Amino acid sequence: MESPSVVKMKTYTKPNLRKSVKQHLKEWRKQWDLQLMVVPWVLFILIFSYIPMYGLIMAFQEYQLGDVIGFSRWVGWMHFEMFFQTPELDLIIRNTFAISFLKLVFCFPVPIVLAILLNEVRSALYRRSVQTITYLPHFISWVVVAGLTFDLLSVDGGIVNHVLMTLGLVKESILFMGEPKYFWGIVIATDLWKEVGWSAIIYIAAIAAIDPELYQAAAIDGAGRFKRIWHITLPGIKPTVVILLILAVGGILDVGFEQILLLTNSLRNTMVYETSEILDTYVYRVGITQMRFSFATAAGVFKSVLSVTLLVIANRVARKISKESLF
Amino acid sequence: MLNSHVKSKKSLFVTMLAIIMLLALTVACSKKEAAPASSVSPASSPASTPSQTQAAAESATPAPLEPYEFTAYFNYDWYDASAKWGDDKVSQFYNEKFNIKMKKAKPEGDPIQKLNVMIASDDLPDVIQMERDANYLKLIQLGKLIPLDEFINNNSSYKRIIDDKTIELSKVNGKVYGMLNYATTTDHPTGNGGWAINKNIYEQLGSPKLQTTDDLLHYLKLVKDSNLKVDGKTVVPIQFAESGMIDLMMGSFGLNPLNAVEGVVPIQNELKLYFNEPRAIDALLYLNKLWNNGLINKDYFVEKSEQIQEKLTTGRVAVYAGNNITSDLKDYRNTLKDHDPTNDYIVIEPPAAPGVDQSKVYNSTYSTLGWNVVGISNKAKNPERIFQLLDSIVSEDGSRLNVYGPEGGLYDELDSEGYPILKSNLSSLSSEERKALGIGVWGILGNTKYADFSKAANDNRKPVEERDWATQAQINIIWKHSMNTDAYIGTTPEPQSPEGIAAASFSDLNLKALPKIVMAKDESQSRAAIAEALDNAYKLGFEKVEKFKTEIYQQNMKLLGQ
Amino acid sequence: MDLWRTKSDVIVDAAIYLVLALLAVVTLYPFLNALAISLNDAKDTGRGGIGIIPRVFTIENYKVIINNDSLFRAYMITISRTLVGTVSSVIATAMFAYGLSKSYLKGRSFYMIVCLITMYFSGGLIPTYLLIKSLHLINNFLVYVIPSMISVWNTVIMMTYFKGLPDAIEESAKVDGAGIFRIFFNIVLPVSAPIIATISLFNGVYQWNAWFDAAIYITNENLKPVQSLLVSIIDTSKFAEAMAKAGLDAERMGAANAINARSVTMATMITAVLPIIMVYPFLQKYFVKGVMIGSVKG
Repeated sequence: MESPSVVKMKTYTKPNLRKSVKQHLKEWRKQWDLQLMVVPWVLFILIFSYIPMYGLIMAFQEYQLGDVIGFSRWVGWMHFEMFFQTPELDLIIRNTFAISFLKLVFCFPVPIVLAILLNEVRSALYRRSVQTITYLPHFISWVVVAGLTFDLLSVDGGIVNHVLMTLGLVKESILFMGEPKYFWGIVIATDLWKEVGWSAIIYIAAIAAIDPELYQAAAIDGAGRFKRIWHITLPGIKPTVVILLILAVGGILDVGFEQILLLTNSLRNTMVYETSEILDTYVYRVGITQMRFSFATAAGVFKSVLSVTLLVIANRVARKISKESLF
Repeated sequence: MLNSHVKSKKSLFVTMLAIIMLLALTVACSKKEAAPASSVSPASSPASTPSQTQAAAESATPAPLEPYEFTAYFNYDWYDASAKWGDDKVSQFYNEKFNIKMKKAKPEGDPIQKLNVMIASDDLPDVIQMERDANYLKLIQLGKLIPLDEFINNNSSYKRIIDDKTIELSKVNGKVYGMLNYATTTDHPTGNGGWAINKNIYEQLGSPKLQTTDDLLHYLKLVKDSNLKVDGKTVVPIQFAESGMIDLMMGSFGLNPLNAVEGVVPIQNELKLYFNEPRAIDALLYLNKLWNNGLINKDYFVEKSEQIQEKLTTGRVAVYAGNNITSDLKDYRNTLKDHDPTNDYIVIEPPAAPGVDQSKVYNSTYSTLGWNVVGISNKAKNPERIFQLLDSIVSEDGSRLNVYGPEGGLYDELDSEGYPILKSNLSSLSSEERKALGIGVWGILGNTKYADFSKAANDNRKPVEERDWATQAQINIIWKHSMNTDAYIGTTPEPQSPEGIAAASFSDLNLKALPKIVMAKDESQSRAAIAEALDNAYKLGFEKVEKFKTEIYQQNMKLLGQ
Repeated sequence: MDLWRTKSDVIVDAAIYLVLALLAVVTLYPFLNALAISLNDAKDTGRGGIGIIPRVFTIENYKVIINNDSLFRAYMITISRTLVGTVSSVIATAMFAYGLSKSYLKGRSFYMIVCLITMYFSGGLIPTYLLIKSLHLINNFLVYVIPSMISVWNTVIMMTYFKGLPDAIEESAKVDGAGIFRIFFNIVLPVSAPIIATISLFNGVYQWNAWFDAAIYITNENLKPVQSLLVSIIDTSKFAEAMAKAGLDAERMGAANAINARSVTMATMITAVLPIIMVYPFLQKYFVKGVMIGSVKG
């Protein structure tokens, strides 16, 4: 038996480059039918997503209304410099990452738990009804949800304050929407409520694909409910979970712009600014409402580069730990 | 077993696919045929309207012109562009007179993006109504709008109605590119801002004097101490409208509401940051006092318009102040009266700070330039005919048609001033009836003076009990406290310029500083917050903004002969 | 599984049922609240305090929607685009995802990276608009179908699913000499009911709710979907509010009765969601275990 390191070395020192271009092409042509399933759509993406990307050059120019995109005055790194010199940049970055991280910790696992719980329900009617009800909030627009949240937390007759005062937990009603320290909690809670049912659907589908014979075999072997969940359900949905987690990490800078915009009454509520200002709201405030499109584009480019970097890191980590990865 | 199961699934799948594709094809094809060639800028279409030409030939008014259709785009996402030309009496009238057809359009969703897209793809409409803002200036700069001086100077109603100085002020680079919508004259200030009180609460507490800010403070304290409740909920002593707290307070202290919005005050004919002005500081400290006495609702900086509406419609507010009290209360008081017929909101003269003349307290501002502009783009095939229609719309006759409809409807005769003598109220018509007559549909250029004065004339003809609440409030109080701000036209810097960036940073800062100033624990902390805001503003480069604004301001003052 | 229910199982079951019931109530309440507001007189709603039962019942808020003459045509457009768009998108995505799920696909990493980058980098609205224009898709029904056919997100999810299928199911067919297309259509798709249902749902919902593409690329009234109409109705109901903010008299502009924007928003929301709720049960039956039974034989 060769030592593992020798084997490793052997397999390692056979990079694809060793094969000639002709060899590659031959292999490619051999699976022409498989490629046919894929290549048209890659072309599709190249057309619809890559061609317009020349617009990113706006980040290095000063775009004015009426300019032909790409031909505005060149300003180089100016917008990026201005962006990094923003006095509140540390606040913005902190809030963005904090909210994102909290969402990852709280809002990512709960749909999985919900899917598992639903799976354990034996009555099909009960399961289906609950599932249908829980996804309804996904269709309620943030405008309405923000309004509802405000009503609930209002100092002027809101239920939450009413209950707290009746129970004697507080003496005066709390201005939840006006205190920075509550903002993150409100964001997480409302997002969880709104999306838990809808996000669970993917996991429900993944669980449905698990071979039921595995469950039966486990039951016969005497495995209790939790053992079954741990050894069958969870591994069964592991690939889905990992992939979605990687994508979630990549999307960490997409914190929920519309939600935050509305929860701060379109940025008019400045009392919670300390904890509510995220990258997107800052860019909206400064870039869009001020017509500084190039600046907004530059901030967007920064965000994109950061996101892709995080994606790559997440992918690598996932591959090391769980052997599952995106690419 | 597996195969048949699979086979049936597959055939089902294939059949479904076939049906869908067939459906798709039919839909796509039929829609394409049904879609007329016009996109956003249709040309004239002589072949399509033979009936119109015939009708025109048969009507008494000579209309030898060919039919002409143009698009009018309203750069506001809330605009209702659903009306179809020819469906109502007013558009039929214009059609007969000018043989012209207006097609309305508006953006869905974000107007800024839509405008951007239209400009980038050179797909502009014939006529566009928009704010007199940076985008408007940009369109002019790009040569997308045509100058209208020739048309205006050619014996137009527009020139007759609008003051020359106003037209001069509206010029960009020496030419007129937009017709003013709802322009007015200096003898007719418009506005909707002011102070109103809850009648029942006021009477219950003894109808005390409410002429000065000290009186106001005293009254509000009285309201609070009386611990009044409605439906078990506490009454709010003073409710400010969503944005209006600072504006109105400035007014009471002898400044004008625009100062709060723009952030600058004239100090020795120069525009300076308003934190420099002692009267502004006094106004802010007064608000701080109100706050610390618990007279303003704790969630003022956080609440939304729905919450305010709830309080007003149930009568839970003792004093209401804002820059649009007439529109708000006009409806809310009806809901209030449904449940409490004896109650009402009364508009009062604004309270004045010590040393300020009450007749010089300003709660609203107006500019003779009115609201926004209507411009004709270089895409219009026949701008002269468009102007003809627009000119007719803005004239007294056009205004009459727009507000009251044609003769024989709400009125038969006109009085000595040319205002219609209404047989029945405008509000007696349902919205369908109004639409059928064409009221409020095609008047894209409004004539403020005619609309308001005719409204006032008709109202004053009625016996006192029947007069319109809002109109009377406006005539008697509100319009008397509105300040002319023509001098400030054009003082908004271009967003991408250094002044523009500084101005935007300032307005951010202002938005954050005001709650701090008002909610400070005591006067000294409030003063400290004001000083801090002042400091920060200059750190952000506000002198640039001051300089820019001052220059334009002084130019305007000269033009206006002040 | 019935065989092994112990006492602790029963308690855990009860706990699960309780938790789910709580969740259902919490998520259902606001929906019922929205329904109540939509069926409540707008002026009365302004007074606040509506729970889940309308205080002053009216269908006035829905009338605004129903009386719109473009409604029927808009529904036709929406239904067409949902059907055509969903079917074409699901087929395209499935093919793409299946191909990508094969680790022996040459250039797989390259393709994946090409796809993933598009999730984070975008050229912006105007370049996209110009592209759409150059492809003659402006004011064309197909603009609802073609540009959205491939979503990288959906592709990744489907790919993960296909990857999870055991190789064994394809083995016998391969041995029989079946080509990849046949394997895909005859074997893989039938056992992929859950994921197809899921992606169909996602695409369907997207198509049903889409209005932004119509807003930017379509000016022809006849091609506007229902959602565009609803958004327009909500926006114009805010007309009076917007006028007030501009300091003008709404009545002058023709806003006869200031309809409470909130009531109309709720009514339009319910109108948009109801069809989805009605269709969903039909998809739910695909989220059932046992789809794999019999697909792999010894």
